[in-house]
Amino acid sequence: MRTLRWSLPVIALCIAAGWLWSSTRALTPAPQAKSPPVSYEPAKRAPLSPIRVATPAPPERPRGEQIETRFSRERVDATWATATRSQLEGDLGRFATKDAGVRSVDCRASMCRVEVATATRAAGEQFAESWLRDRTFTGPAWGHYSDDAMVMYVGRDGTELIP
Amino acid sequence: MKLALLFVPVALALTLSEGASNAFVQPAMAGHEWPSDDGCLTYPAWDMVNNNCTDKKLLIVPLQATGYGGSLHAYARMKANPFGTSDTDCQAISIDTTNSEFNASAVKNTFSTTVVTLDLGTFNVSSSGTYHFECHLGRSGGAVVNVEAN
Repeated sequence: MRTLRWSLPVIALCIAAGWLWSSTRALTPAPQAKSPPVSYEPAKRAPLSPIRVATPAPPERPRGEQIETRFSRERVDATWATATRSQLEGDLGRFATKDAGVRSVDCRASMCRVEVATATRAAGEQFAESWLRDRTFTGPAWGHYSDDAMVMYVGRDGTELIP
Repeated sequence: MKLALLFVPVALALTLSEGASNAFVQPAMAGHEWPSDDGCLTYPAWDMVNNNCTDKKLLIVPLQATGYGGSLHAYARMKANPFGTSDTDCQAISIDTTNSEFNASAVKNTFSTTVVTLDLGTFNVSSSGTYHFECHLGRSGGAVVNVEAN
């Protein structure tokens, strides 16, 4: 009975010591192969930058693919498509040059795909800049240049081209 | 557990302030006439930019989307000339960092003789890309106060 009375605090002490040891062990840094030389210069601090809280975003598909997919899934609203195609051909045609001109206009229900043939990328940029600046078509527009063509998507008023 | 709980209000505050920081308002006087300054637009301090010539003039107001990429909603505050006979219009245009992609908002115009805020809809900007507003100021008094994207 006397042995039992002494053994209980000893067991409790052992458990406490074990828990303390295991918790401090996790915080001990792993030994390094070579310790860095001790510097007596004042430590240089990196400039403080504001903390930004952000959730990691999933990798985004290129915008061109997103719009292309959306466009290919759209049904055709014949009335709007015919009228808008005619309007766009006239509007874009005003800015055609020997180096840039409309190749095709394809309209669906809320968007049109416009392909512009360009001799150079600079010609495509010039065409887009001129058209955007003085266009009569007032819907939103998205465009991407390559060396020999520019693809644009334009939307019906109120359409969000890139959600 | 208690430590984690302590960070919740801090994270919440940072998230909210992050959202608020995405509103960009630029006064029209930060812009410039395009393609060249022929003295038609007046840029009074702390006031709207006016077109004093008898033909329409183009005002470009540039902004930079520092560290922000995504969809923005564009607005512009403007008015037509005092007679309501020459409208003022605006649109927002973004250009990506490689200059190979652009995105333009809708073009909206007004014949209102008093300042109105027009909703230009959404457009997309790439992170660290640039965007600007292009406004045609109505002849003989068309004006723009400021532009906004958030």
